[in-house]
Amino acid sequence: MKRRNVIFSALAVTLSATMALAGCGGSGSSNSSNQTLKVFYQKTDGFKAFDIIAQKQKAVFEKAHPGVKVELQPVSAQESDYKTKLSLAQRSSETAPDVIYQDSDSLQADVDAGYLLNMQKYVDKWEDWKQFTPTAKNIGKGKDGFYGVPISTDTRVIWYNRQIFQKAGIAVPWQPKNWDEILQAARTIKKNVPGVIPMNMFVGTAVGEGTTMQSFDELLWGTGLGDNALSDRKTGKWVVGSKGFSDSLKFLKTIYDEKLTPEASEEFDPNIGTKISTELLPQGKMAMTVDGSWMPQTWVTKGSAGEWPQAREVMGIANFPTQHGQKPGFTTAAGGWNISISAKSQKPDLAFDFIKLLTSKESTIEFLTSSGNSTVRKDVAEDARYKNINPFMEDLSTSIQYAHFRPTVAEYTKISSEIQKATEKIATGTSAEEAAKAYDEAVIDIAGKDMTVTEK
Amino acid sequence: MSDITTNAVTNTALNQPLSARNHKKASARLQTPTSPRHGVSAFFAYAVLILVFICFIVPMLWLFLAAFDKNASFQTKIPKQWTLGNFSTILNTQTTFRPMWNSAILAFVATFIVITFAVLAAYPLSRYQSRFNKPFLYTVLFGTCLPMTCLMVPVYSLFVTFHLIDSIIGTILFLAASSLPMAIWMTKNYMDSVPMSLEEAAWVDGASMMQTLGKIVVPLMKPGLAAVSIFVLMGTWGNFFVPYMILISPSKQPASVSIYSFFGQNGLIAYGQLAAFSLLYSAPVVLLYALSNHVLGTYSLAGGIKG
Amino acid sequence: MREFSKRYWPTIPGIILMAAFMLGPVIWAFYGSLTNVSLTGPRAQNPDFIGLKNYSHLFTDPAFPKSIWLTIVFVLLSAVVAQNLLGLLLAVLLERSNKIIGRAVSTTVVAAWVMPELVSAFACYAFFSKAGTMNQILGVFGLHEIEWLFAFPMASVILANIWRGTAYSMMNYQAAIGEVDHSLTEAAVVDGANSWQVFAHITVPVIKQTIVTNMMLITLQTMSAFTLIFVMTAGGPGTKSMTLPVFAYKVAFKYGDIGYGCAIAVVMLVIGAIFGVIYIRSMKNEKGLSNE
Repeated sequence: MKRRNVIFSALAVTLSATMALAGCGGSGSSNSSNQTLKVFYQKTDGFKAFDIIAQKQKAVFEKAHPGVKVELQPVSAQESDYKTKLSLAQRSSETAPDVIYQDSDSLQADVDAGYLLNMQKYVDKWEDWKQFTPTAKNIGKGKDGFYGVPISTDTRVIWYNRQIFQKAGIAVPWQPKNWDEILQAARTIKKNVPGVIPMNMFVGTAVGEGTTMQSFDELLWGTGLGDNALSDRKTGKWVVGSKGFSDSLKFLKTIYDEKLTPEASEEFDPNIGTKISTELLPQGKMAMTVDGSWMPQTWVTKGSAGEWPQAREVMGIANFPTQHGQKPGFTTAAGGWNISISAKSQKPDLAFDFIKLLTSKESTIEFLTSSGNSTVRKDVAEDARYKNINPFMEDLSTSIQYAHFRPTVAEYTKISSEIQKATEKIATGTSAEEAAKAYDEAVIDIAGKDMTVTEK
Repeated sequence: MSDITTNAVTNTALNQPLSARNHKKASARLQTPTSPRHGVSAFFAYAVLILVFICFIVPMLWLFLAAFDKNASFQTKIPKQWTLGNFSTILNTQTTFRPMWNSAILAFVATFIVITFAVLAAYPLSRYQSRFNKPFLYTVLFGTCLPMTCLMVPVYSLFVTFHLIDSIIGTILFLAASSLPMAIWMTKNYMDSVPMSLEEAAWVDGASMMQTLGKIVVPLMKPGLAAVSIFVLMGTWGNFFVPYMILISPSKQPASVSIYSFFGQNGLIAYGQLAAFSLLYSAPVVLLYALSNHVLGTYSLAGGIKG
Repeated sequence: MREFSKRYWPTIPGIILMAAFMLGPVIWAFYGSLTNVSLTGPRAQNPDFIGLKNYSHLFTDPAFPKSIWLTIVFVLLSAVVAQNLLGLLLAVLLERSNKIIGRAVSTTVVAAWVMPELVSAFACYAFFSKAGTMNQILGVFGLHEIEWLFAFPMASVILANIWRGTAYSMMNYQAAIGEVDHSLTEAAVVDGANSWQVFAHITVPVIKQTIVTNMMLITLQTMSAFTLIFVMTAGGPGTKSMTLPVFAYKVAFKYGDIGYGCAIAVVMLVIGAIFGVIYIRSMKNEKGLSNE
């Protein structure tokens, strides 16, 4: 009996020793969490902006708050994977980061889930808050207060290669007045400049929110219902069965059926956006694409994979037109990213202090210099350094007046993924009617019959 | 035949450490009557083998060539400029060293737990007759049948509730639990082949159950336990889905998750580095397998390891 | 009873571990499948009990029957047919082959299986990608490039799984054939039987149980294959290679519907359990557990 105990305790000791070792192996073990501020953000080869300011402000913050450690948790994933990872992390109070870098599209869903902290009392006392434009503040607004401090906003435009357009015999500067003129230009390029992909508009789930924001929304908000095409802004009801929705799908169907775009297989690669900005456009293999205002950033960044000093001369910008040219003539989807505090954070005061550093004027300029997004701060907008971030800044600034924002409700992300699925079906050969019907069913399923409205 | 079926449950060979010797006998017997006697059938046999060889080696060649190629692509080609640069680029704490260390922790601790628990559980099952044995073994066998990847959704949700998300220990315990049924099964079969006569003598001398197990049975089944350990090690080292879902902090993630992020982030640009990282990550298990093969015989590991 | 507990206490740690980390998730899957718990939004904190609604949803969701069908195709073609037959063929041929060639072949086949699944997935991704080796080979024969992963996603993942998994069947069969009594085969040859007759009348009867076992195990393993498909096609394009595990992953973690994902997990568990029962039955018939 006694000997058995000896063996047993030996076993227990070894086991607990290995367990302890295991704990040490993962450096950021739980016992140190009291004085650790965890910061969760995305970092990829194409997006290092947040990492740059986080590294810098970590040093500043740790100096100002002795004994507090800032633990940076950069997630190396493309956008849609980053969002999944963030949701996974937020669900559990053990892993919920204190400071979160987040797309505003999921703000309300996360508020409803109880993941985010209402920052109203912090921003009220914050001197800098008045520097944020009212539109910008909306980016971080939930149903009952502010849940995020916006750091950037963005719009979408058509980026086109002037040289290819000229070669195809299209006059530049070019500005289409309606959808047909886009099609005409693309067809002309296909005919006159063989070997060049005429255009790109994202489809499918691989690009995630990029498909909704950089492609479908530009179309949808330019149809008959305008700003109410996705959901009725007053009642919050989701629109189903609308002509605008199926027309938007039909437009995508046309460009895919006529092979005016990259192969659908390339479109379903999550890295297609990077490929277009760093390869296809600089190498003159694509004539135009609809993409975000941050595009030039990779071209002006020295030493980046997509560095392209001639971009200013080659590339032109056009606003995306409404379907038939109806008022106000153009559309763009505007979004933005926030920095939020987890509702589960044990040290929200410290977290907000860190957010103040991250979103300060200087830090914002540094962030935007690397990311190429547009500012949400008045003082930054007036700063010469901001205006000179890249040579396109001025042209781009016209698009914001046509901005449409995404509905800030919890269902948005789910409905957005239904849009992505519908476009994926289009590119794989399903008819627009069928894809629209499946979308309608899914929306009714998600939002409930009484939260949808049928429009013609 | 009954011998085979007795042990054939999961994998004939695993439970037959001696089969390696049998096989050597068989291959020494090259020109036996069952060998292809006619030129035609021999030609056919070798043609098939060579074809299979080509089909299987070609996809692998890319890994070896691209890893040392300065301008690697997805094509399989002899590098124009050989380089070790792909390796030196990825050899840093964040990308490789820490993840590899984390992998080692996960794999070794999980294996240690599995082997300990499997030996303990297998002993009474192997040595005592009881109505308890059959249902237990059937349950264990049934457990090996459950598709563990399908459980990731409930596991994630369960771990959230019990605060085990991002916990290395939680990950280890889940990995251990999912390989335990197979390990108990294998260990019991090995233990069955250890004769009881020696233990009986020890019992007569008043040794306890644990003493006989630790001092007599375990030493006699070392090769078998080594085989089980390697089976568990390979499974845990190679597991991607479990740590991918459960471990959130980059500092805790093992090599499988790190290499996957690398693939997602740079894989479509840095082909050579991806191949180099793949080789590094595969090396420990491949070497371990080769070593065990050498020591334990050709078939010691046949079967059992989930693909 | 005292005697029993004295003898069987060593099984307790294993039982606890399995109960907590295997049975726990299984029970949780059933529980979760009856709720609308989601990854984010109001249902993340306060899920409702919705009865069998997730299951009725399965039957109206066109993605589900498609996913079942793709899983069946994947398992049947890659495992039951290809891995199984190729493994058996290799085992038979290797038994009699020249030592050097045999070594080279078996080492290569086994190597594809020994490397971590993720690495074989990368290798296959590279092999089938547009700029990859497969198209390079086609080019040599003057054939056109094909976007394998896009145009033929199922064929690509099936071929990849054959490449990765054949070693398992091969080794099982090699071991079983190694046990065949050579005096029997030699006697048959003396009686004038040809190779095929020897194989069909002597080898197959002896390895019958191995065949059944092997098919069962590779079916179960292949059914739950995730990493290979996840890396190569992520279930796409669209839903063209979305087998059940990928479907469950997407539903639960991409679209945030954990309750529905749990329902899919339950379906897979039930399928696995059915196979498990058949498997154990077949073992019983063969007196597989007769060593007590």
